[in-house]
Amino acid sequence: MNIIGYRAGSGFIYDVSAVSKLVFFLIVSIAAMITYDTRLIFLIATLSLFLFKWSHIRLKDISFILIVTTIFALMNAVMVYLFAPEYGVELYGARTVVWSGIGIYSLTSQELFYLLNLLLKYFCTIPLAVIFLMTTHPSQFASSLNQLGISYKVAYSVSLTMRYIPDIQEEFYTIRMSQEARGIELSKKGKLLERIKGNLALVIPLIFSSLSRIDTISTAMELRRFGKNKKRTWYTYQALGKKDYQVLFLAVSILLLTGGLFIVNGGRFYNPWK
Amino acid sequence: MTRTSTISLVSIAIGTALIAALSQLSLSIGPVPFTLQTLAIGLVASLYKPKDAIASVALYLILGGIGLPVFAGFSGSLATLTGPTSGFLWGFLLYAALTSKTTQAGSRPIRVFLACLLGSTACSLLGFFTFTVITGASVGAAFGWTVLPFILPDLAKIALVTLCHHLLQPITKKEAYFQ
Repeated sequence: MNIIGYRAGSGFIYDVSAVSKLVFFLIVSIAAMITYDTRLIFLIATLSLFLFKWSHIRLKDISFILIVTTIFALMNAVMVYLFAPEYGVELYGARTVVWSGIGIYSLTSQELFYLLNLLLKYFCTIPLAVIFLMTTHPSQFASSLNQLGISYKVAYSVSLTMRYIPDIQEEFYTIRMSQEARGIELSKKGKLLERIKGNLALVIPLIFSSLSRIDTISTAMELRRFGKNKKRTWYTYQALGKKDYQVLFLAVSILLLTGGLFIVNGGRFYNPWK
Repeated sequence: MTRTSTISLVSIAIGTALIAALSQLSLSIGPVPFTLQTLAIGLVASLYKPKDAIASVALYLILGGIGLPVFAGFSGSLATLTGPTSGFLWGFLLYAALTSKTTQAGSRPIRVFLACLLGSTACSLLGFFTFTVITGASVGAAFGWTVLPFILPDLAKIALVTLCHHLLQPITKKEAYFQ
């Protein structure tokens, strides 16, 4: 199944504390979002893909995600072109027509360059997000949020969410297979009304099983005296080590580089036509 | 921490997980992919208490905002929350607020349908308005791209939410949280 969720593993990335990974992830994502210096975006994208490779997440585990991400990014680029075909010209102050289209829909080098920047940004953040999600145990994520100053109750609800996303996804596939095994037609072969009924038979048990967890989980938490004190200890607590400071140093370096390039470029954009 | 607040905390977590998981799923109803993202928002909004419904959607947006791939299409980033289609995402908060304020787990189907219709319309209008502001697109073009194609699918999802809400009543009546 193409289910995103934590998978046990070993290596540098798994050893790093969830705090460092989260801070690194946030800083680098923000840097990639803010800048339009193509050289920096490319550098961050390369770093992301390298870290991805280094994490030993198998490509087949996330190939579906990469495909959907690419399609989504391309759709986004096409959407921007359709609604603002001359935006690149506006930004870079030059106009080099590559292809003469109808009316305002000529294709220019500047627009293509701008869209390239947009596409590259996806390859900065998506790999980092997948790495973080698949190499960080939900409990570690919760403890890292608490270390950053967020109330442990709120932090715990975040880890519960992350812990149950894969469960609900898995439940969906289980229910679908069960219903198909007893004759429910869910594929494109059936009639429309049949498929609507079939999908209803899919959604109802999924929602019921999700909602029924609420009582069970909350009772179990109370029986373990959750929330009775202002503070708690974390089994998954991990103090920052040398590796963590290396990671944080790299994140801060990228942020400073982003700031430096603002000055060098005289703004967010790297303009090869200036 | 009281019993009710523990249940609230868990329900928010489960609600967020439900929205995140369903956002990635689509059913083969017709030629257009029929994602369950808005269905999940509608269900959480019509079943949960207002505060919990809004918190679930807010947590979903936060997780997506920090980059976790929980939005439709496994996307997620701060840019998504500030881009051309960000109004629809922020509109989910409006959807959750309006619908949950006007329904409970025990509400009658017609009330649920109208409440979801109200929430969904507000969400679409906010998304449409934000889209025109950010892209500078003309009103007609933006409407044709972002509202028109989604009217029928959204109505179908609202009908599904209403039906699910009704069919879930034997269960929600037994759970103390939904009283």
